[in-house]
Amino acid sequence: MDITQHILYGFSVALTPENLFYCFLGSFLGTLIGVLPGLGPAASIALLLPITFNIPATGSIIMLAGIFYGAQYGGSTTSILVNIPGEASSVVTCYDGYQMARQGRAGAALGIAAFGSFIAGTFGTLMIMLISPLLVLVALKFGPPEFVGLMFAGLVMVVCLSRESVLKGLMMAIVGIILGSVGLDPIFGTQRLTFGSTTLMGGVEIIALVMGLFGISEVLTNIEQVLTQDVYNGKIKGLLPNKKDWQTSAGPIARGSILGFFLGIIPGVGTIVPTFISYAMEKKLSKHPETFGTGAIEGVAGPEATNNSASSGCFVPLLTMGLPTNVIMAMMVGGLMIHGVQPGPLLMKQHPDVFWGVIASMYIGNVMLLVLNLPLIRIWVLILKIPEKILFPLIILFCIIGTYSVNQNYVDIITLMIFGGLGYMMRKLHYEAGPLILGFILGPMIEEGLRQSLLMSKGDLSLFLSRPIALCFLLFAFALLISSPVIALLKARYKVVEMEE
Amino acid sequence: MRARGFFKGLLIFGMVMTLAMAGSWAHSAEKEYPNREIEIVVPFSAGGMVDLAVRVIADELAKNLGVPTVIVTKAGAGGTIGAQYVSQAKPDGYTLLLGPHSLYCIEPALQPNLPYKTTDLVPVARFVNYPFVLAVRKAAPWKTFEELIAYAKKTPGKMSYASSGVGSGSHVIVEMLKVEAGLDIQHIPYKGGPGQLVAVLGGHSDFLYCGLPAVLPELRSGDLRPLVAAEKIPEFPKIPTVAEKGYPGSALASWAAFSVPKGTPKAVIDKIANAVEKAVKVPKLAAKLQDIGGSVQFVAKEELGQEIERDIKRMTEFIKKAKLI
Repeated sequence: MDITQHILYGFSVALTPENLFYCFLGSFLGTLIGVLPGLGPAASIALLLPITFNIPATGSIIMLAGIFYGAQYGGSTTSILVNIPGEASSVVTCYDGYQMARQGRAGAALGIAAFGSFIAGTFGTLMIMLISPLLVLVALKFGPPEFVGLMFAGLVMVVCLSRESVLKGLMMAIVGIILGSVGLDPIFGTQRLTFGSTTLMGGVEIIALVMGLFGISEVLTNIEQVLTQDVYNGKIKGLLPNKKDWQTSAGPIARGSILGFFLGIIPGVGTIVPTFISYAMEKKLSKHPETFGTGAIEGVAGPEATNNSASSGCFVPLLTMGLPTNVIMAMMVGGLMIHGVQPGPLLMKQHPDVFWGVIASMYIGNVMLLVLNLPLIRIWVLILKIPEKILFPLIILFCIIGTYSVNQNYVDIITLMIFGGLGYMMRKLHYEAGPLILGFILGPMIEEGLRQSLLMSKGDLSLFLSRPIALCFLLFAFALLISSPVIALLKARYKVVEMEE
Repeated sequence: MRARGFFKGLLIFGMVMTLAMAGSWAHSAEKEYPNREIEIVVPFSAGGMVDLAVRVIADELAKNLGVPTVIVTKAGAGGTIGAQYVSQAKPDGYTLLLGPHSLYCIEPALQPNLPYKTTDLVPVARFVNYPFVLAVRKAAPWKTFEELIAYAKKTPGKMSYASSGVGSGSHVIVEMLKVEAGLDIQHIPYKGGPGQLVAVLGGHSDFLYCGLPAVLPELRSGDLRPLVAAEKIPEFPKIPTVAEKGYPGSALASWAAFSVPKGTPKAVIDKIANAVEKAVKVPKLAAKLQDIGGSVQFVAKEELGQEIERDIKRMTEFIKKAKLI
């Protein structure tokens, strides 16, 4: 039918040796960038963009897209192996992935991450192919009030993220929100907490924050302990996930794919927030929530699937309306326009080779990444055997390079080190960094959305009641908030009734 | 053993000294400008109108000047982070700033405590002009500019418009229109061009008034309906201008201009300006700029400096009058 014709055409474009090469190059570079802590797809794509001007439009987008979703595959590798996220969207994978590695199940974790990513990526690409135009209509319906509802629900989930004290989690979330407010006021442009520094006018750089809190602090913590290598030597059991792993992970992967994709299509959400939401969701839905944080494979499968399908989702507004959902998509818009290809509603009609070629190459790219990553598991696992005195300085080096690559601003390195030290202290005192990151990202989003909504309604809060999507999210968040104490209360009363009988 | 150690040390010392001196030799060899790569700082994130413009012209410049050009992105704070960086760079002509009109003329009027003075940046040349166009979404009830104004007059405070941020051209130009036509429309700032576009397409704000490149695809596909523009647009000759409709004051230019830190030698400035002038005369370049929604317009050096000064004054007066800060 129509679609099959289109996709076959797309494959005919994508399977040329030229475009296959770009696909491979992009995927490979993306995985590498994802694995290296600190170095991210945004900075790398910005560096590689000029090179793409000399290759045809389709090829350049195929390559850049490959880098983007390839990075989501690779980011989990260092999260699992050394508890340091390769990407900001792989932070959540550290929680259970690293624990699995410590139990000798690094191979299973890496394997389920790779497979989960593949399934999610393919699902996402399928969705793009089938229902993009419809999806865009949905995505456009997300105005400021809906955004507030969604982000608020995400913030409430911070409660579910805390492995230890909920109070400490909330404290860290608030610290994160305060840190997020550093910079310029979104509505009036006044400076907040910038202390006269021009760099801080742009806010705290998130890569510096994440790498400091998770990367540098991890290294510092480990230097303190005396780690015996035996923990990893010889105890590496199966290199692939076993049947039980698959059974447990099937649900999370499915849920993660759907969640990630639909959140990814909304401009502004990104790939980081959906992974947190996926983790919280899996924890809530699991029959054994206490296993989360000790090596539950659902905690790896869900978020990894989420960030891959979210990265597919990011393409939907770009390919159908020319709307970039994040900085990387904006760069792709630029790349396309330089080639004389106008990304926009007419892209599908005017340049079907670009549109369908990119979609077809996403399928191919996902396969390539799976093929690339599975055998590499053996090699990645060997990284664990590198003596710390070589590994840790290397990690610090990559964190610094990665952080500097974003803005070429040495202030970011200072930020990195400050948060490295802070993260170390937080670990010693059992305060978690996850809620802080979530607060840091969501706080400013909620504030901006809320103020825009109030500007729209001229200060009338009942706006939220009159918009169904926003209302749904807010009610959901509220239900989530009161669910834990209410359930506990009901349980206590039921117990009392039982005892009395 | 100690003797060997001593000689090893001496050898290393010798190597380091040689390298250090070689470095200073490179500096003392004063070749003619330019003799190494030139850094062009773009103070907005990649993919935006400024970024596009620079990428179109960077190669031509490199050809004309005979050295490679490197584009460095330093985004943030309305472009002021990048501007500050360049204002503090060495005034030797190897660091250029490419900024939009809003950075040179609106930010100084809006932000009282900029970390640099407007005189710290010397304008060199501007080469591309982006017309501003006011558009509503396809499903909106207003088919003409008059209908929009009439509705706005009937419902003060009810309508809203989307801008790409406080202090951007798309914000100030609507405020100018509001003052001229006596309208009360709510301003809602969004994050950048895409943000304001999504807001209008999704129906969350009623209209936008922004530079052509940001909305060109939607104008071509019909998802956005243009009602009026600040000047005549060759691709869409049917769009009336604000002057025709009786509001000549609400016109704003949006362009991209190169500047260098204060103290750069005049000869260097002249060389850069000439390179830009040569570049824009290339028909392929002009065509590419037109494709993305801009038109070639070359104004340089003193003329540009005076233009900017006049505009800063105009903006300062307007902002005070409209009480925008």
